[in-house]
Amino acid sequence: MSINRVSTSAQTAYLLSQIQNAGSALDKTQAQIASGKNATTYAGFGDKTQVLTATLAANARNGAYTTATKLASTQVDLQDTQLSALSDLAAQLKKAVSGSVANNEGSTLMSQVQSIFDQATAILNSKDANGDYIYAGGRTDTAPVTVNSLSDLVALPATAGAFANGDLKKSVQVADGVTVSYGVTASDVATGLMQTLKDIAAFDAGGSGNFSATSNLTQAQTSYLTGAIATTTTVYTDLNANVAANGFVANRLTDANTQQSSMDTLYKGFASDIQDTNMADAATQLSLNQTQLQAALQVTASLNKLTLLNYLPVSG
Amino acid sequence: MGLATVCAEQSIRTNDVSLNGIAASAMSALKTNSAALSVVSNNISNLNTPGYARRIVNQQTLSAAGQLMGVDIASVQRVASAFLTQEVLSSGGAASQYDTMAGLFSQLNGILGGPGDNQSLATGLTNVASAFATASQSPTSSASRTGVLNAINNLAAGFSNASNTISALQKQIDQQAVNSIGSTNQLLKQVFDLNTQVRTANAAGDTASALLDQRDVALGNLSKVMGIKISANADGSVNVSTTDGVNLVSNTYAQLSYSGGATNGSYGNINIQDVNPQTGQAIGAAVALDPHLSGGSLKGLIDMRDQVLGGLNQTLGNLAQQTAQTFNAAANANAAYPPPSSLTGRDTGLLGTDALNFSGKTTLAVADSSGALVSRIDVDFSAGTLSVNGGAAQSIGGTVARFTTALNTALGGNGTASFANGQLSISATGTNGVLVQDDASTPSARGGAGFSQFFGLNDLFQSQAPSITATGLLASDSSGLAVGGKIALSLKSPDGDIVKNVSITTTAGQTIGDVVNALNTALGGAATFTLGTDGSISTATSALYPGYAVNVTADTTTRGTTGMSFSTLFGLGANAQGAQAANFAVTAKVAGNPASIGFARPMLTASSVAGDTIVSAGDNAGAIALQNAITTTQNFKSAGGIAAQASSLSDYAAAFYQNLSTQSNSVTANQVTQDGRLTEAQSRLSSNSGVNLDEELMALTSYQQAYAAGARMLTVVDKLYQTLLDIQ
Repeated sequence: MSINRVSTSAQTAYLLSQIQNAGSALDKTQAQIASGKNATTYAGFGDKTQVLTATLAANARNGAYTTATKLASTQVDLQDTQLSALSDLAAQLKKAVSGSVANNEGSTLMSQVQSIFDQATAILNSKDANGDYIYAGGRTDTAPVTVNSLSDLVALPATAGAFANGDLKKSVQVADGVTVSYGVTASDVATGLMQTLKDIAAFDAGGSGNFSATSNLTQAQTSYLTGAIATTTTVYTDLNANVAANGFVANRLTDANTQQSSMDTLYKGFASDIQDTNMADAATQLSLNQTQLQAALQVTASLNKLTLLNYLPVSG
Repeated sequence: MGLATVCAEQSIRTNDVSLNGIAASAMSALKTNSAALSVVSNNISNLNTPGYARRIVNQQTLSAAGQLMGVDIASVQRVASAFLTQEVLSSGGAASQYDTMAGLFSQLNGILGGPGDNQSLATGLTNVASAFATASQSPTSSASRTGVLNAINNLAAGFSNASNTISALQKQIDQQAVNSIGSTNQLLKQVFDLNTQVRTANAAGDTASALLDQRDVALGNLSKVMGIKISANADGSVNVSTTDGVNLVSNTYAQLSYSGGATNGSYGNINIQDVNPQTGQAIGAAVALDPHLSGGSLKGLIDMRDQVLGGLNQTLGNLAQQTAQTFNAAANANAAYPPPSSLTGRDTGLLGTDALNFSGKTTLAVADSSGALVSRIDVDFSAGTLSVNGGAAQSIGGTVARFTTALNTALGGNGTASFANGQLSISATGTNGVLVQDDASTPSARGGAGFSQFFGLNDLFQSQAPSITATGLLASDSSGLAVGGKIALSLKSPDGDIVKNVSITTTAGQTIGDVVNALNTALGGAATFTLGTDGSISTATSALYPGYAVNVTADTTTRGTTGMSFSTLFGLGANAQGAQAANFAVTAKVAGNPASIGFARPMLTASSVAGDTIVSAGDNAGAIALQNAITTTQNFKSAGGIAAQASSLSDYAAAFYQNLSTQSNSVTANQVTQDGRLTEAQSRLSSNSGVNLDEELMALTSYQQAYAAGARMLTVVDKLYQTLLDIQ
């Protein structure tokens, strides 16, 4: 049906609705520009709602992995420093033993051994910021080294009795389905060192012992210490291996962190593509919408002037 | 022209013309044109009146005995088109339906927020995982426990708020429906009354009565409430019915009745009944209007309330139930450090006399405050025995109460076990604590849930309804329901018609199977409940009732002192799913004591002996398991328009929002389409029936001039008389 006449009021109403439509479109673009977001409701993202919500959630999860990995990294770094110190102590022990043999003089050996024991125990019984024992395995509320003095250590039937730590290692989730186990326990790293310290102290307390009493080493002492050089070297090497192993874990965590950063960039970029307003597009759209509203107003104004009332003379 | 011809013509015309005749003819022109001017005047004054159809004047020659006698108005015609009017009414109904829905969606969208505000359930779930991730790195820190508690509280609040929002909106919509009943009834009565008046006016020859405009307005308003069909009668009245033919106005008129309100989240029907106009008495039986609604705001309200929000509520409930189950399962496999001195379970709805129905093995251990094993009780449910610290096997009995007694005896001086009001409680004496560990290869299970999980000893979340609906009850188990309890069911069609209302009353000595059979008998084959081997009840409607929902409209049954009704226990009825998200919360024991959240996994082995460490402070395996709860794949059943799927909690939450978005956008698209259709129909109708000012001004001018010319004629006649009278 062709329209050959129009109703005046319908025409006015139609023009009014067009002005409203243009105004509403303009309003939407303005809101997009002002908020920087394409929409502020779930419905506003249409068929991309699920992927956007899932991406934002995945990114938050990635953020959680990042936080946990950084916390784990901090602990592994701390252990790295402390294990290096422990390794230095093993080196000192080796040096003290080999020095005594080379100089044929053992007067200061036991004081050095004592000092190394004290330092090693202090490291192994150190606590983290939460007050938890770092090298206690799962039993973080119990000091992993139970002996307070070298003589207590000597008195034990076996070195294993000096450790009260659990076997459990901490783990951290670094990505969906990827868990890294980290941390070392006192008995893992220090059994060799403690065994050597115990042996030397036991020898010192034995019949051929008492290094500090004589100015020169006896044959038996020289022979014992010569044998101990090899043991201390092994202890030192083993501790270094532990430091290295811990370093590998630290690297794994660092790598995981790098991976998480790139995932963060990826997720954020992906979400931003959906969520954030493309300013260039929006600005162009804004200008178009403004023009549209102006045109609608213009047409209304022009049409309102068009009436026969202005042309028909008032007869009378 | 020849003189003879002219004379012949004159002889025809000049028979009986009188000056009076001319004056009368001119007078008729004055009358006719002034009447026409009055019609134009009415048109102009009703320029902006909604529903006004323009009138046009049909003139006819006035004649008497074949002689022209001037002019007369044959009729004042009301320019209306039945087709276009029906099109406007029909598109108006559809537009009004989607306008209503779009308005409500806009309200819902506003309340639920957007993806950018990080308040979504998907974000809430992720925040819980984040909190557990942080806690896993410092499991002993009280700050990380507080962080976890905050995150799970926020998630729980997210569920209960969303559930409240949806329920509140449903109630608001229902109230809107109730409110529109009164005005709709008035419209129906008004159309009927106008019909009567139009019939009278029509009989009196007034075919352009203003009553027609009024009736059109009333019909237009009515069509915005519900889709209507109109057929015109010869006497000027119209018959109005719903689009599928249910009488609204004819010789009688219909009245609607609806008082609103939901029972168990299921809303009733709007009833419609004919009324005898003479007596005001109802005729016949009331029928449900809901299935006969097509278009109109009422249809929009009901669809929004039942389909859209009802569906969202079910999807939300499904997510809430799966969230509770997943987190509770993980939490129940964990142990807190130091082990809590007592574990108190949920209300399982079980009675002491209920069969134990567990299979597999589990170990209950008493440990000291440093996590060292004090005593262990290995329970072998399949064999029906338990053994204390590896000792001789002892019977655990076949019922829940007997098992509890056996457990209590086995705990000896180390603790106690009790079972009352559906809740299992195990305590250790002194500073010791209790923990439970399922066997790795043959874990304990009742209805698919492990011992600790089934009894909810370490639950994180709870809601109005138990999340475990696989009760483990067998058909042969006693129903345990108090005699005289009533379960009422309704069968509701997808378009809202309640086609069946049935109920059963519990009798003495019934088994679970008996109750299920009684319900099935009552439903008469329209729908069937089936008790699964895991003690869950599934519902299937017959081929005659595809897509129908069985709702529980009332349930006064109780299982002993548990206070649990039959339908709550089994999550019976389509309306039960939504209840899973209602009042979703962190369990009181966890909320009150975040230290009871287990971050560790018990480390009992077959060879663990007293003194062995079975739970340690630095163990974060449990926290990592809880962290992973949101990403592990769960089997979701079909609910509220989202098909059954294997998906993670996080992804299902995203699907929930997608579903909302899709429905909202579909309504908006329909709104645009129907508004466009309405605008087009209105534009066509108004092009036909509406007043055009220019046209009226032209008519005004032409009638005015015709009037002036008629008046001039009278002047001429007057002059003629003068001339005649002047002849002397």
